Amino acid sequence: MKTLKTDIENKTNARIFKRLIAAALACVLVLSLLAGCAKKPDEPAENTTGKPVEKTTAAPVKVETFTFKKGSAEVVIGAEAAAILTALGPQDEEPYESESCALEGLEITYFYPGFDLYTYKASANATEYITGATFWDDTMETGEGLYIGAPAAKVAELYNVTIGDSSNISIKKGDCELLVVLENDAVKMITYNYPAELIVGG
Amino acid sequence: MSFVSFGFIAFLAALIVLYYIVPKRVQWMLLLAGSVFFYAFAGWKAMIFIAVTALSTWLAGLLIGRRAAARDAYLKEHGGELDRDAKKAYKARVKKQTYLIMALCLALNLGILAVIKYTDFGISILNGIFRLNLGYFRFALPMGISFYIFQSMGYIIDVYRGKYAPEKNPARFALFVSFFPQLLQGPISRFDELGKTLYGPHAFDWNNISKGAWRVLWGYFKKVIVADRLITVVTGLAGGPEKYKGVYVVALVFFYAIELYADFTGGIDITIGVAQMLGIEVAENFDRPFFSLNITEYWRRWHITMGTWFRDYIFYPLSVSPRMLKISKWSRDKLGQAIGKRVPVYLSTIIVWFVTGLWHGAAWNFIVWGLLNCLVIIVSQELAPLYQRFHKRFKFSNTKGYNVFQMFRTFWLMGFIRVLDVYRDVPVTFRQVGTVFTHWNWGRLFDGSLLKLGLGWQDFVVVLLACGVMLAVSIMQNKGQVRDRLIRRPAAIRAALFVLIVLLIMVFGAYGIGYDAGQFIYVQF
Amino acid sequence: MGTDTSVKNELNTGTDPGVKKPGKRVLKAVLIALAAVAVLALSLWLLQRLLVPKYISSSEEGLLVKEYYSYAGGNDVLFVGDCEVYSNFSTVKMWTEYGITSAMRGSPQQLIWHSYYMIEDTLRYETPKVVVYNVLSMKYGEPQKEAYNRLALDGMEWSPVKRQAIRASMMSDESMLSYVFPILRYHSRWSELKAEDVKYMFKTKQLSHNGYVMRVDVKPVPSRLPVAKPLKDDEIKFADVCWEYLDKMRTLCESKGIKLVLIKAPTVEPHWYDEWEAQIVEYADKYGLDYVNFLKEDVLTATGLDYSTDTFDAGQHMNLSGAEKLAVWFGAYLRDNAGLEDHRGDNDLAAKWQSKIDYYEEMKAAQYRQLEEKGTVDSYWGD
Repeated sequence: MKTLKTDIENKTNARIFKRLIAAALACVLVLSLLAGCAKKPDEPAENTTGKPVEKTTAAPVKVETFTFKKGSAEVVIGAEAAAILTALGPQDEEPYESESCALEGLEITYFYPGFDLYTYKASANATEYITGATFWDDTMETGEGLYIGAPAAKVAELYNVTIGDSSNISIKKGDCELLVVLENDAVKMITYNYPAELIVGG
Repeated sequence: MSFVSFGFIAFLAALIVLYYIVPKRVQWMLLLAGSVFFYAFAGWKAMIFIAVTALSTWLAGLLIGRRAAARDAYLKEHGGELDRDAKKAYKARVKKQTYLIMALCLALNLGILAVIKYTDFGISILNGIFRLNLGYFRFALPMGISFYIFQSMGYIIDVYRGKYAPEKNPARFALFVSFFPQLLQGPISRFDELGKTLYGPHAFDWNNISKGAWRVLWGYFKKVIVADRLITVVTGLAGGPEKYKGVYVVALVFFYAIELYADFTGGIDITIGVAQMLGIEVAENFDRPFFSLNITEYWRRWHITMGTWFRDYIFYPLSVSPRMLKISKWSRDKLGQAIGKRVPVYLSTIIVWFVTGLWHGAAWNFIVWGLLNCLVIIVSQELAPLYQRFHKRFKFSNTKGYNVFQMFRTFWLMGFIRVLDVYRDVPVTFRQVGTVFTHWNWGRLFDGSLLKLGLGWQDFVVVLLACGVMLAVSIMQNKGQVRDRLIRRPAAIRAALFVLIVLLIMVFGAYGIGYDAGQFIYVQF
Repeated sequence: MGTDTSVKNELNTGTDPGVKKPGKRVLKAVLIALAAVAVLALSLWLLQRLLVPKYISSSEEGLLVKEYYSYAGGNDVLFVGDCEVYSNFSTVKMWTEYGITSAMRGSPQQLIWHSYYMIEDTLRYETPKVVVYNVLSMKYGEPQKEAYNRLALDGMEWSPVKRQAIRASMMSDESMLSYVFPILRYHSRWSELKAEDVKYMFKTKQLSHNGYVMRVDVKPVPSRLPVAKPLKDDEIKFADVCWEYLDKMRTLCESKGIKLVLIKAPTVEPHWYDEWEAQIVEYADKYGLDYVNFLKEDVLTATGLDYSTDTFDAGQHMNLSGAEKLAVWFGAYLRDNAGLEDHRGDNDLAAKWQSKIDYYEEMKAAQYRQLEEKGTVDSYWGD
């Protein structure tokens, strides 16, 4: 008699248990939806085996950027400038330098046939980095094959973007931006921008 | 709210003043209010999570307690009428019921943790195996979730085991779960220990205030002067594995060990010191771990409350579980005594370390990190007889010099295992550690290359001096608490020293805009 | 063990023969605590004096905002803006030519809200007849660098205006507290301390001439300049916040009876786009404001500016020669359009300005001397 009772109790218990588990899982689900849009905790996201990592994914991101070629030299936007400048060779025109007002930063524009190249140094002795370039004639091609005068459709095709009302198309790759200006359905200007504030130390 | 912020210091000062002004019976309510305020900075959604954990655990504890009380009352009343078997059966039934309640509570809370923390990891594994391209949820983890859930689960298991009676008042229990000094980084407290002093009443005691303040100050010293300064170098070295090989890896191991030690023990010092200023005793979490002679000892002295948690709530139950006993019997029968008796212990050890790794983070590097720790522990256990023979044979093995060598060995062994979590990528870590032997560039240590990592030589001097101070204090601690000895000095000297340390932290601390770790960003291709 | 405890107990109950009454002990403790707090505060103050940048051998322009308070009062013209203001108009020349009293409140990359609050701050000391705002900073809808905030704000004297200015300017990682206690910002300078940090702990040097910063050397505008980069969509229209502050500036001036004049200095870099010009012209027309764009051919010709001799950094800032030419032309413009008086007959004022002229000449001579000796001007003071 007693064993029977326990048996029944057990079965009921098991059923209740299953139901409760289901309910708990539902709770978990609802809460996880909340977490999906939860604000980032103000805790510094340090990676330590001392403390658990309160971050869900942490795959290191490979830095991507735009590049283009001038002759055999490859210009990598955002990269250290020295080797690239050497590869591009000396120019007749003196580069144009502008100092940051009152601070140490130095922006330099180098003049090459077909394009201006921008670099930045955090201070006189700091490493120089490529921060961008502007093409000003159709002898230059982007790494993907875009040139001044190309039809607008080519931008869409090469960069997989939709062309809307704006005459400016901004294409991002990593931290680097490629800005294409259209006029009368053709490419009028091409500029690369790399945010100088990302280059502080070095 | 970070400990290293003026907001926190202002909050703390206000709280302490109020704490000793209000009637003693409401002190703990003030602490709860303070903890809620503290947690509110993590956002209201995070508060829902901690509330769910607190409420569900409290309720489960209460239900278990009621069942246990009903059982005791029933047995007291009807004990005489039942025979031994019936009593046993009745007890087993109640046990089953309380087990159900506990299991449910565990399922809910660990389920929350699992879903939020491990879903993306699971997806990444699925993506890897089946070449899928499933999207990630990228849940933002509620602040301190790994800690407060483990602390609550320890409580419910203890209540189920009848270790202590459950807390009846939900607000009091909520304070146990959310006590602000230990929310961010532990320690993982036990209810029976923390509960002794958590709820007061606490009369104003200058001794507590002063000792607590010294401990907090010491915590800031370690965290702000050493740890936060070294972050720059550590992130720099870890972020450019292609560029930083060979001796740089050795440097990374070293600096990360110091950084993590200073950061974590410093944070715990602040936690314990703050609690002490409130008259509350929080469990110690470290016992000068870098003085450990081997890894087993290291794990008894590093992140102690986590180690004991895993021991008490996973390792022991696992070792004596019916399934494990079955395995034990089977292995003894099939594999012989020598191997057979090891199987269940090692199996439990492996499982515990796997889970420990997983608890630290949802990524392979943490799992491998846990298993490597496990491997070293098992191997050293297996080699123990060999060591003993060696020690017997050679007399020097008991000398101080040999002990220092052992500490040195443990430090570097742990350090090399630990770099897994700065590279955060298993193959990269192994490749990098390999370069220590293949990429011979020790000259880099002396040619100024280290000064190109974002810190100037002056910073390294500061780190060196501060490490010297930390080491000296650790050695002094051989003879008990340094603060106890300090307190015997004249008040004027103590005051002067306190002022000096505050000034040192203010000037040499790596805080604020001049020390933005993000300032050292280089481009990596 | 036993004796040890008894000694402790004696100490705790105050029966130690050295200290008779518990009251005395408490008093002693309180006194020590107070002394400690006082020593801490004093040390922090001294360390702060030591650690804040002195702006003597680098970023000298950091002196500008604070210097205003030494020449506040009695100025008919107030210039506000960035380096296109403080490098490009000689205040002393405006006095010597026309007897116009003018002051500048400019700092490097000074944003429009900085400028607005500086006008408000100025009104606490004086009410000029004309405010001149250089419109280049309209292009920045948000702060670009924390350092520029510090250069613009650290030197301001404390008042509700300063608090508002800081609130309006702070970047996300800045805190009000670090403006109240600059040591929190500059403590990391301990590793860069130089002799000048000790020497100028309690004193400073005068950089400007009523806000004008002098440079005498020459670096002509080259034959080739960078092509103008195309504007991004969000760069074409000035940001709403800039318009908001321009409106505030205009209404503030109106309410105080001040004439607001907009200018664009004749610098060739950074590029001033036609799209920007059109917006300013439209705004000036709409509210009947004067707008002088020095880049316009006719104005440029009238000023007599020569890009091969009048700039010290290839067209980004004017040198002394350029700044004096602009002052001569613009002084006449202000005299004619804002009805400014000639104060040279006022003896008190004349005496005051004579000492400014003396300092101006002194600095000019020192810079020329250095230019001759070293070939460059690497110190404004020529030392």
